[in-house]
Amino acid sequence: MFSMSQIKLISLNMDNNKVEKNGIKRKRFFVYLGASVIGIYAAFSNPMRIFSKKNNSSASGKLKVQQNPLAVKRNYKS
Amino acid sequence: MNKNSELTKGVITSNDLYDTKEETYNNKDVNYWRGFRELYNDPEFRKEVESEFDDDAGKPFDTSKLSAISRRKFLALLSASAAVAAAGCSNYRDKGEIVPFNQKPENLVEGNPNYFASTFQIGGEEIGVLVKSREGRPIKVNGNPEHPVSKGKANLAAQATVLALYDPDRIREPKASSDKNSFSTIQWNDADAKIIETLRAATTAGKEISIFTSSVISPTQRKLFDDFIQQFPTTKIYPFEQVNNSVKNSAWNKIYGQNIAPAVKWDEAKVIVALECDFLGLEDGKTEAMRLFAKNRDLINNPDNYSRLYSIEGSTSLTGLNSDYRLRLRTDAIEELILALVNEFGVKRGGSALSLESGIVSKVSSFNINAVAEKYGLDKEVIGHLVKDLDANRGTSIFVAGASLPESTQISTYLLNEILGNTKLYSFDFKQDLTPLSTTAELADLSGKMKGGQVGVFINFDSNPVFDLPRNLGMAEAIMNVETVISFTEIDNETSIKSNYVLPCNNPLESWGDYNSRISYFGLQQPLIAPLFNTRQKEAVMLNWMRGGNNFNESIYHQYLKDNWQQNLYPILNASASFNDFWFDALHDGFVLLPSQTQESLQFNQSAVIQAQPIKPSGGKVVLLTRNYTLGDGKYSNNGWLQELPHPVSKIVWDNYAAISLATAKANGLDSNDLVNVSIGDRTVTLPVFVQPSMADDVIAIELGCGRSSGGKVSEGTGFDVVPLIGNDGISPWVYNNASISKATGTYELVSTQEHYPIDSPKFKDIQFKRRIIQQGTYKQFKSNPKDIVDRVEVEGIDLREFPSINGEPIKYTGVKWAMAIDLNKCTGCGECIMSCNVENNIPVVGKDQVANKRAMQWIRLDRYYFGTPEDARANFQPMLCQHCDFAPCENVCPVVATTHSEDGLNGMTYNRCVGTRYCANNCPYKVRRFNYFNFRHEFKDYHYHNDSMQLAMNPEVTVRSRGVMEKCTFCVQRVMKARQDAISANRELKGTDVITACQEACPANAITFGDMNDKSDPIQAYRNSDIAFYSLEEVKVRPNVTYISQIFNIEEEIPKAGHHND
Repeated sequence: MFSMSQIKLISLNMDNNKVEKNGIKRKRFFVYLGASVIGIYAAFSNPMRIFSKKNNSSASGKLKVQQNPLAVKRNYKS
Repeated sequence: MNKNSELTKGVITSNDLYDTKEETYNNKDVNYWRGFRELYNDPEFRKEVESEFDDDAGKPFDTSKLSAISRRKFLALLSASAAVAAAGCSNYRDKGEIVPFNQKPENLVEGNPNYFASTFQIGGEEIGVLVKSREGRPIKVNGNPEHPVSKGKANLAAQATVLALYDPDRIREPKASSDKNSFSTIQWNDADAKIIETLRAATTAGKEISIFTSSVISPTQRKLFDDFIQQFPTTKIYPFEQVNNSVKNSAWNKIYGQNIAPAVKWDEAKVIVALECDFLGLEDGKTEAMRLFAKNRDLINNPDNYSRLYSIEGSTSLTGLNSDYRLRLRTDAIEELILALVNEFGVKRGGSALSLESGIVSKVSSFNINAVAEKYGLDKEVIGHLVKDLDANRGTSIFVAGASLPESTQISTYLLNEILGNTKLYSFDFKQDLTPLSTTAELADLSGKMKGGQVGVFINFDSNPVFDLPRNLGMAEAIMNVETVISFTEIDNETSIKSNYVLPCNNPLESWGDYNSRISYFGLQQPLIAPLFNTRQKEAVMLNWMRGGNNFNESIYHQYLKDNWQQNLYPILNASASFNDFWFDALHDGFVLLPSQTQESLQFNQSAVIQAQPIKPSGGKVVLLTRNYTLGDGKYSNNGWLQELPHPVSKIVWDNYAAISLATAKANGLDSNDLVNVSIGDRTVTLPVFVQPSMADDVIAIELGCGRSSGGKVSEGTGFDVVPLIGNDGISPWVYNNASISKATGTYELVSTQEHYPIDSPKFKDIQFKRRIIQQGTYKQFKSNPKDIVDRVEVEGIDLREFPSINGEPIKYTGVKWAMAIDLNKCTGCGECIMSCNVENNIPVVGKDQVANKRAMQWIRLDRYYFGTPEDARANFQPMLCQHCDFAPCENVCPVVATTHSEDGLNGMTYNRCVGTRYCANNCPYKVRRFNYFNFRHEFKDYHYHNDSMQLAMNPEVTVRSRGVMEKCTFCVQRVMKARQDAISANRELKGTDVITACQEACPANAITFGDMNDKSDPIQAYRNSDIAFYSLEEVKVRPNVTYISQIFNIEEEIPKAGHHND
């Protein structure tokens, strides 16, 4: 069993914790929330593109290659 | 030379001094040098050669200069960077989806190429080509093996057409401008409707419709023009080529009454005298000329016929450097020598095949060979040999005057050939252009009409008159006065930017056509690929205009062409097959042979000689303007491969220059890279100087085709425009002898590849000679004792080939073992092999600044070694590529085993293992390895060649290398593998002749042979076993597998052996 002084100490600590928990937790919560939103946005926005050189390359290739159906090919093996 | 006996024993002292310049020049021994900096032992050059690495590379690492950053901060930054980098990797290398065919086109098998015959028009000539196509897109242009003229060889511009097809600068949509300044996209139908209206209005108003085009050698195009003229009667055609044969043809016409000068049967000539005639490099028909000339320079297969080539010229040309005897003579003095020879053979000696009229006799009587030799300081011994050879070879010798020489010189040359009975060596296969080229007077008239508002419509038919025409015609101003200017072009040029309508036209690989520049055959052109962009064939567009503009489809010109053949050509051939069968056969072959025609006999008109006014050399300097070796008249200046191909003589890339002799440079206080003002009359151009060995004094040779102001992104800022020098005061349109030069302020860096990768070290002074990089001898020596020609290295009296190697005994290859042989007698140094290799192996373009940093990426380099004095230097050309050594020193040092040796003797590269230590390149004695310091496709002109269209240009059979990877010649391993697969499929043995490497395929002289050294019946055995075969740097004992055939000069004098300086 705890003594009265121990109980007081514990209760004081608990009171302190209670006070700290409410104030710090809320502030930190919103800080973390904001940072997460920014971080997720940055990650999905692909920030590396900001630093890449601009170029006209089109990885998907929109040009259509169509062999001329009227061309007559050689009978060639190699 | 240094007589230090210790040095001759091979013992090196730290004080090895070079001899003084005087001793070097007075010594008649062979002294190889590649440029003046090396010859004069320029300290800067020696320093560059000695320090392969940057000066800072060996300095100790100073840790005190590092920034103080805590370990914790470093790790935090590292992890943050990694997180950000990972976030940016989502689309890494995603090139899109690969979808197989749902309905595979007939005859298209993925992985197997298709080949199509076609024909290209390059300038005024046609080239028969065979185009390789993979998955429907063309990737390589070779010569058509069955073609009667090409015989399997194309030229540089034809090979580089692949890059032009996929050029990112190609205009993709038609555009229009009302003020000839700002353009906006327009639909084809709208453009056609407006243009038709304009054409009709011009015709009604009686205003001229001018069509400016290149040479018209296509019969169907000629018919199209005729039909167009019928519909729009005020139309006039103006064909133009900047460098052409008009002077030659005019002279021939005056002499023989025929419209076109003939070609030459180079293979039947025993003595050839080229007068300012670079028939191996620049003249029309050079591809055929090289092949035929090489037939009489083949000591392996044809040792008893070896021609002798004399070159008499003011500039230093490829033909001159390949000649047996060469005389430096300023261009305007050549005619004096010819008239002296006419006097010698036509009057003095007798035996002339033509009885000369008294007018000619009296005209030439004052010309004397000795006097001319004295006057111009010509070598009398060489003149003596020339006279003796001509006397002994009447009827089998030929004088050929270059197309740039004046008419009187051409006439004198034809006269000399007639006197010597050489007319049987003419080949009357050339055909006159279907529309004669416009004269200067006609073009001046056109310009006047344009300025005066008499031209209603000016159609630029895939030409560039604003750039190509002489500036005194004022075309740039005249074109602004024309109401409607229409330009057909692939890439924007100086004319199209001043047009009202810019209509993008198809590339030759997307076009139909026919050509008839020879009387013996017709060439056919077929498109391999549908237009990549919204472009149209220009002939089809014109046809559409004639038909009212509502009926365009891509096949209208095809039908027009076919109809023309059916009506006009097919009947004269008396073919037994139906027209459709005939048509398909013609497309399959790429050409149709015509019935042979009898040549009418030649009647020489002597009065034309009497009337011709001989040229008198002036006191001024001579300016010789020539076509560009790679860029032509500038049409190909946006082609990176062509721009980066080293000039065959000077090895300069990306620029043109004023080439002058050493004496002229000294007299004017000039050195290479100095800017000089070249003036002709009131016309002046400033460009850099290049001091060229072997030039005649007071001659300035300049190439056209550079200095484009609007030629595409690649051509931006390259070269100098020298068209302003063209005027009416020359002795011919390309030769001016009233020029002057003065030093201008400033310098301009010219980049040459020749002083890169030297394979000798100045610390070992005589070893570069002792190493026998080039072996040479004379034809006399070859006939008497060929074994005496090759200087074998001996160590303590033992032939080095017998000396054991520290590598031990070589591995025995029991199967196919690949080897290559290069005949230095046939190799002219033209560079076709380099271009073919570039196309085949996806070689990137690096740009001038990177070439200056010695980072050119071409796998073959053509080493050109001068020997002799700077005034009269001769040259050897040696293609240098990976030797695929049996004891390859590069393989031993790779820390990650990225370079290995295959079972069939190839030195291979595994690109994805390579980590870029470059130790292999360091160890290579031939310096043939190339390192990708950058991803050059990104670095060059800011991603210019990293583009959707350029990706199609890549050969899918060859890896495209990225940054940090070493690469080198692979002996076309992709072709080896394909041949092996075909052999396996056909259940037969693989033979050496089954594989043709890209360089071998392209070489017009057939100087390269590739095959199996283990097969006794392989043609390569004859080269390997020849008495005059040698290996480069044999004494290093790496056992290279590229055999060189010693260069043999057909001269009377002896050539000192290399390396015998101290004998």
